[in-house]
Amino acid sequence: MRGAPIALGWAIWRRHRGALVGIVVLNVISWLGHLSGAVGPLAGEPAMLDTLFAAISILTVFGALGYVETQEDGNIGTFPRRLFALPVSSFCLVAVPMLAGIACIELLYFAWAERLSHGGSTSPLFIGVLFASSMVFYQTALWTLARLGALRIVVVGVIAVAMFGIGFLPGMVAGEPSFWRTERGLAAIVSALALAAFVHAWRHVARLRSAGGVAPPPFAHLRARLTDALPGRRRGFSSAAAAQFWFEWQRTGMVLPLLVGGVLVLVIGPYSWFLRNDPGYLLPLVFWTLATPVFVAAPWGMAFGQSKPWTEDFSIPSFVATKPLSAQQLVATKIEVAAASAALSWLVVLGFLVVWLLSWADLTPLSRFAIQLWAFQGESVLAVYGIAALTVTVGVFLTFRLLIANLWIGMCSSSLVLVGSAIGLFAAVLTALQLDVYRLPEWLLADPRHVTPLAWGAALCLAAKHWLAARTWRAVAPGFLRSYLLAWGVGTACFVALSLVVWGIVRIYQPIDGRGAQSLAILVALLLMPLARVGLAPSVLAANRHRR
Amino acid sequence: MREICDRVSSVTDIVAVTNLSRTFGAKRALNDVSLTVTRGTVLGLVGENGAGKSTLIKHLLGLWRAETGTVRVFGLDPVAAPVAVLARVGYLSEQPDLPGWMRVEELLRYTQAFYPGWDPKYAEQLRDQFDLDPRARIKTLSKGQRAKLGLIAAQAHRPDLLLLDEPSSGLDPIVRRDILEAIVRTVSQEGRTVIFSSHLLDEVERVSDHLAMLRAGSLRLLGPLDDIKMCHRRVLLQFDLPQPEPPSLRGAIRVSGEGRSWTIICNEENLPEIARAPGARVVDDGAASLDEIFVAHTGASVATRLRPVA
Repeated sequence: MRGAPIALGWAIWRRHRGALVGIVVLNVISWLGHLSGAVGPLAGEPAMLDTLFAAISILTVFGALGYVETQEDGNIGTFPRRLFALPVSSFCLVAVPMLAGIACIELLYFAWAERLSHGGSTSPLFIGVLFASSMVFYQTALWTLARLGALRIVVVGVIAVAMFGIGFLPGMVAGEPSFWRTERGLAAIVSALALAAFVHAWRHVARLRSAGGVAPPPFAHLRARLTDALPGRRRGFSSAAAAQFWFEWQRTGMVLPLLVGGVLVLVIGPYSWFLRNDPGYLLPLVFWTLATPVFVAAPWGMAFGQSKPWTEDFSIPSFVATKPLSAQQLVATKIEVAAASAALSWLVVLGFLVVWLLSWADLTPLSRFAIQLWAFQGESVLAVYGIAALTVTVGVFLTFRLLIANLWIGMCSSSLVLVGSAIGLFAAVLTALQLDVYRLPEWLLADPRHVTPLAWGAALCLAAKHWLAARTWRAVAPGFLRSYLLAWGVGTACFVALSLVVWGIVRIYQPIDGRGAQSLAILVALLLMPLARVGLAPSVLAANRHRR
Repeated sequence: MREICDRVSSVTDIVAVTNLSRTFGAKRALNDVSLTVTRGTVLGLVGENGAGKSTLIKHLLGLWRAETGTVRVFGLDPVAAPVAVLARVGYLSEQPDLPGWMRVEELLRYTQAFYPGWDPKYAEQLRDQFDLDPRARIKTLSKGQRAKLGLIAAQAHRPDLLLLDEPSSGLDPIVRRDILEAIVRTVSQEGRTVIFSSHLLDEVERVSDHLAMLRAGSLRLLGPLDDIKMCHRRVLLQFDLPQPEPPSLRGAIRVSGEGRSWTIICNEENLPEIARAPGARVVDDGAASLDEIFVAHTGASVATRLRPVA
């Protein structure tokens, strides 16, 4: 190696070459698609495939070149401290990964620019500056806010939204804009901010390196005292299962209610207050309030399924693996924690709704909606309350379902299964995009005959699901299976009931022959609650615990 | 379950490993290892880094499946019956994998729930002795304090088998002494079965009554510690003429030295033959220390020239 910067750059390449080669492969596939005519001409609108591939490539570059590592002490995604012992300046340690990140994202952008920006008025140079600055802001946020842990994703999200907003700003100005709202002005501001971010990151790494730590954040002492004052577990546990439930709850169970509460208080709450005089926003905000647990549970479920959330290590921690509990007991505890977590999250939602709707909401649109529903349901007040209760119950089961969706994959240490599931998901998304899946309802309603193949497909999936469940249940204790099947039965009945209610309302607006569509809705509802995971998860967990 | 319990109570071999082999890629971590550990034995497991000590212990815990051969703990396969085995095992590793967010008292209550035989008074006594604040969060504890807490969690249920995987590695001498004393007390007062892996041979010598020495995954020595020490001799030979190369002596395990003086580590039965080495006389003959036996069987230091063992 000739010099430390080259060695550091080589290490970055060596570590992420798989991801970078994958990006090149996606690019080549896209070009081949255009050359063969399968994707469409280059001059037309950006193809869905191109948009998808470019998005995957950009996310991969950002993911790979964050330049963070999990430390031995368990801290996730911090600046690699192992490099601090190298005879290299802190400037070099910070500059090399930033330059590597900027180079990669710029190369990527200019590789895709032609295929994605037909007829756009924004100059490629301006977008290039935004991409480079985004990389600097992103890396700075990851390195300097390591204390926030996984919550850095929120900061990164804010940075992404802000950069998007800046990108659209020049085009939104009518007439002659001031210099600071032109592309040049904005590029200068963003570049200056990126430079400041770089200096901040450099100083932060230098401080970490020399002092071995960072200055305590404001109120750190107060926070530590508050945390210590919180009541700990003072009583013993009645059983091993109770102890394991407490452990899982403390570690993963309370995360979803906290996240849901956070979103409601920090996002929905302010919106509902500022828009309290605009009745048009009430129903959408109620919808988003009800959707919050479901939307939060979807990404959190991917981490919840792991033996140890937010880690690159998929093996079961020896602390858990050496406890005298069977794999099935460990999975049963996880499922129970998911159920409690989903239920508590919905209690938080209901509590928020009660406070909001009774305190500062204009209830006129909600009353109107309730009256409409009352009219649809044969003027039965009981039916209206029943549908509301059914909606909440379905929400709880859907949240629960999303939490345990990744259970058997998360508990598996096999990279083959992980990669296979990722490829399967990717292929499904790709197929859905190529088939314009968002037009499915319109296509279904256009001709009742369209329903038949889909209904057959759903029926086959249902049969396969039950077959797989029956095969994997052999090793599951009958007591636990009975409990789970009871929950499954209630959940599935709720899904089916709600699908029938919704279908009844849809038919009022869309008077078609709906027997086939109704059957399809029921079949889909029957597919929603997981059945085979109860048997699959313990077997993959056992394989992970007792490694070959 | 009843059958399992009946089988467990009738077993005198706490651990029985037969022809156990394990490979990680091209590396052979364990090579045809067979050993038995009877009730009340304290087995010291020694070997270089990468010799297979931790791998063997992980097999006993059921964290690895046997590739070939069998592993039985209390007569059971720890992979097939993990609950029955782990309920009677205490385990402490070099870096106790304890959740940092828990408080000390919470960890003890949590661990207690898994073991019906947990002795809260004993746990409290050890906690007092180790001076651990019950309200302290584990993430705020030092490495030594974590090791002590891990030891309490591993032995407060008075396990039938205590597995200690380099428990004092990287700790300061005072913490090492505290931990060792707790182990010695467990052994002397309760007569428990202990498998204790360590690099520190004085620790092993102090605690163990049996010794297993691993090298590159193979078991080089296994037996009572006193027997092993008795049957190894250190012989100092003085040659009439300087020897340019290490002398080739049948039965020598290790030959080191230079010129006229050469130190030979050998088995008891080979001593007469070595004493008859042509042109040499025995200047000194004594029992080899465990350190010398370890070095003789596991490798050489930089300053030592070795003869291959016949």
